[in-house]
Amino acid sequence: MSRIAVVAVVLALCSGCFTSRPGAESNRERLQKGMHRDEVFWELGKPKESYPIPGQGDSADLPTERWCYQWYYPTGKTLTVLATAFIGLFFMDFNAYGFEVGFGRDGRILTISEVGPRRR
Amino acid sequence: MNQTSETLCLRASVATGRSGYTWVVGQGWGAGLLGLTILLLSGCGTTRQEAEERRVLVDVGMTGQDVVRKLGRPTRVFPLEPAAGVADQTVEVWAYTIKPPPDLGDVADFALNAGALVVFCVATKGRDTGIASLRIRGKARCSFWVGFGPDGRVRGVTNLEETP
Repeated sequence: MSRIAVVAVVLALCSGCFTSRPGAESNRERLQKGMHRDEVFWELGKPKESYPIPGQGDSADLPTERWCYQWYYPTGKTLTVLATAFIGLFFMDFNAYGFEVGFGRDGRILTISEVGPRRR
Repeated sequence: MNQTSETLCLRASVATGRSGYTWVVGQGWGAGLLGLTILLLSGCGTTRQEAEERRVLVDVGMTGQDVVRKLGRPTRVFPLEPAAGVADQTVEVWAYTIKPPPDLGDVADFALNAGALVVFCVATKGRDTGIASLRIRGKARCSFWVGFGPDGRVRGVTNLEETP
């Protein structure tokens, strides 16, 4: 039991030390243009935000809905900050990283943006 | 309550042909139910109607300034990367969300839900784990989105959507 707790704490600390960018990039690589909305939901879960894009007309090449995905690891970061007596504040990356997925009228992916820092 | 008033109460209840205790409890329940009904009715906020009224103020072709003048600043602004080779497309989406402030209706709703939870707990003697799935929720928010083209004019407005 105590070993499991130690492993959990170490994992949390590690996730706090590292940036969430690689995680976001690996998740982005799981998506491909043409995938259906349901498949995306199955792969990555519920997006942080989703909104329709009004005014796109009848064009089949323009997205009509957008999903925003973001990753941050707040628990790990908080633990790391506490465990390093706030020294972690100097070397940790506190940016949230994510990307946006645009869906067409048929519910399939038309656009996937690049991974980058996002506002939390 | 002194001896004289107790006697008066008893006499009054005998005169009306009802037990004084039953009469008082009955009145209390009635007042409570009436109060709760009023609170619940006041809680049936018109958020959707408010949002609808605001939404219809937006028309295709209006500039961003006109929209701000009529509706105020948006809750969120989402810039979009324009698709190459398409002139007519939305390049920015403004989200308007109306979050109703808590009112007496919410208090009544909360009290009712909490009461139901307590009754459920007592009835099952706290053994039913299904109670964890019950949640006390607030009122839903209403949102609509306005799309702007590269010329800064409204290209479209969505219908109202309720967001939890």
